Amino acid sequence: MTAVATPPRRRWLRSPTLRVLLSDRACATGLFLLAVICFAAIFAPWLAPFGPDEATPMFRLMPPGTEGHLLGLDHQGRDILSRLIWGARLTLAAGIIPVAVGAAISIPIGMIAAWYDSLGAAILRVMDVLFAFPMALLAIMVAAFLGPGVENMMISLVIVLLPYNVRVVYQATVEQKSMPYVEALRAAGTSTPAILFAELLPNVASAAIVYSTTIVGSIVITAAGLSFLGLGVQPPGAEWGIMVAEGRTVVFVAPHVSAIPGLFLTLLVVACSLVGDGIRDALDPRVRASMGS
Amino acid sequence: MTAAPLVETRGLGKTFTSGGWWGGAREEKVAVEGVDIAIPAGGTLGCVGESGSGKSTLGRMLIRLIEPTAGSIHFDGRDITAIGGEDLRATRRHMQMVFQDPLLSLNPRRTIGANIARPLANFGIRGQESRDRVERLMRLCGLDPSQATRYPNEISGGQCQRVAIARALALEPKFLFLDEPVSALDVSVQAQILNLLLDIQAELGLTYLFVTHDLKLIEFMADEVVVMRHGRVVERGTAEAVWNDPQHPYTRNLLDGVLRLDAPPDWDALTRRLEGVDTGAA
Ligand SMILES: Nc1ncnc2c1ncn2[C@@H]1O[C@H](COP(=O)(O)OP(=O)(O)O)[C@@H](O)[C@H]1O
Ligand SMILES: [Mg+2]
Repeated sequence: MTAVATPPRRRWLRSPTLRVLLSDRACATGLFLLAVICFAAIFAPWLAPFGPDEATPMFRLMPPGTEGHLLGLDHQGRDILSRLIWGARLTLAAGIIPVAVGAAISIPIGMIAAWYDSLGAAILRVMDVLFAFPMALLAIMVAAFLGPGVENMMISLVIVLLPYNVRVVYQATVEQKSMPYVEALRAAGTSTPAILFAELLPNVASAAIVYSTTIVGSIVITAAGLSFLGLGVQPPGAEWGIMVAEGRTVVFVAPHVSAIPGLFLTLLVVACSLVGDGIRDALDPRVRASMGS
Repeated sequence: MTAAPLVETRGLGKTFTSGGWWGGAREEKVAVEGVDIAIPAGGTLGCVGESGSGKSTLGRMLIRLIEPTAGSIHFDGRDITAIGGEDLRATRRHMQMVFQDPLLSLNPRRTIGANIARPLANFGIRGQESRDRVERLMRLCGLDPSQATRYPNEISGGQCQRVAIARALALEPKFLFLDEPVSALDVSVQAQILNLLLDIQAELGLTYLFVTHDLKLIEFMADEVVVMRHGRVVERGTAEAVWNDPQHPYTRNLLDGVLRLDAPPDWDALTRRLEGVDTGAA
């Protein structure tokens, strides 16, 4: 009696998705890198040898390998390793928060656009206008319009992401909408909000989540770019984009000041895209089937 | 048949329009035209015709999933052509549908139990009562209630169709529109599902519109038949009459196709059933 219609149990451990993810070497590498960076961000106060703003002007621009300063010091004499570790927080947040917020906003917009044809046509036209701008340019325009600052940078990134996210959700919903099970739901007297947000949501959200993981990398780099241009995180804040920017003035004397955060930024973006591609493949039924289950 | 019709149409028609001033040239497609049918309560009307002849469109109009563009629909003595809102929702409880592709007709992200429970939840039946009803429905449809926690892709096509039937029965309908309910199934499973439908009909006194492109199933399932072509009814009569003595050349063609293309297995099973021999339906 009680076994009937209990909610589905979480089945992560025997999930074929997780198995495919971990057996994909590129993706596992990306996951490892991301895990290390996240670990550094979370435990920064314990891991970082110095505070992010702690300066020893005497040792300005000392190269990597300097006694007590593994990755050297910047133009103000701040420990680069410490700033990297502290900066992982803002760098990750600047990439992940806008993507998560963007996905959350785009799900209702995209689903409603797909459900109501004429309203949908209007919404898609607005998105097309946003699409017409290159991503980075639009981000710069919006951020410049809103003014510098971390919150404004994140808002501008959400706006930049919106047309892509909405399109993905729209497409996924349109696909589901034509399925017989949706017709069965209607025939059974299911209200439109219940169809959209109780029945279709999980089917559509997975598309949005997969897409979001593939785009985190480009948002991280766009965010860093905004900070580099002075539109995002403001000095003396620690963030990898602004670290690259600050090293710019001394790039010929002490290239490591820019190069090291630049390298880490690259690693982070590569890790994001490896994991994103891995998740996309793992959720692809064809790939799953070839792995056997 | 003297029973009053449960479902009746007069001059029912549907013309699909696509395009228009924004999306290119306006196109009209007549899917159904001038259809008059009457299905007596407790009876089965068979509807045959090649693919694209308008069978699904006709059935969907009957249960008000598609708006007709001409004619009227009467259900249980009442004109339901233009009802809407809460009235439509309440009426639609009594008219449900079973689809051709059983897997696609279930929400893949929800368990079987949740799929069957959805119609109940729509009408305020939740909790223990819902669970009890789901269990009863599953038994009625030959399913083991312990399967309720499984997902549609974990069970066979035949079982999915049983789930879809259980869901269609959840709201205790009077009328079922069966849209080619077995044509996506293995031949060996077809007879089981048809038997289930017949058993349920006998038990609950349901009225069926049984749509198929497969004429040989009609005699097995239906009392009367309409043959559709290009959206119109081209021939009608009792199942035996149409089967034994088709009048329209199109019907004769359909019949020839059956005899030429389809070799026995299920045909044997169906014949045995007709002769009253149990085929051992699971
Ligand atoms: N939503 C629709 N829009 C436009 N044309 C449609 C639509 N649904 C069905 N049709 C057309 O109506 C005709 C009848 O289709 P249908 O009722 O599905 O036939 P059947 O079920 O007999 O195969 C077909 O030509 C089909 O292309
Ligand atoms: Mg059809």
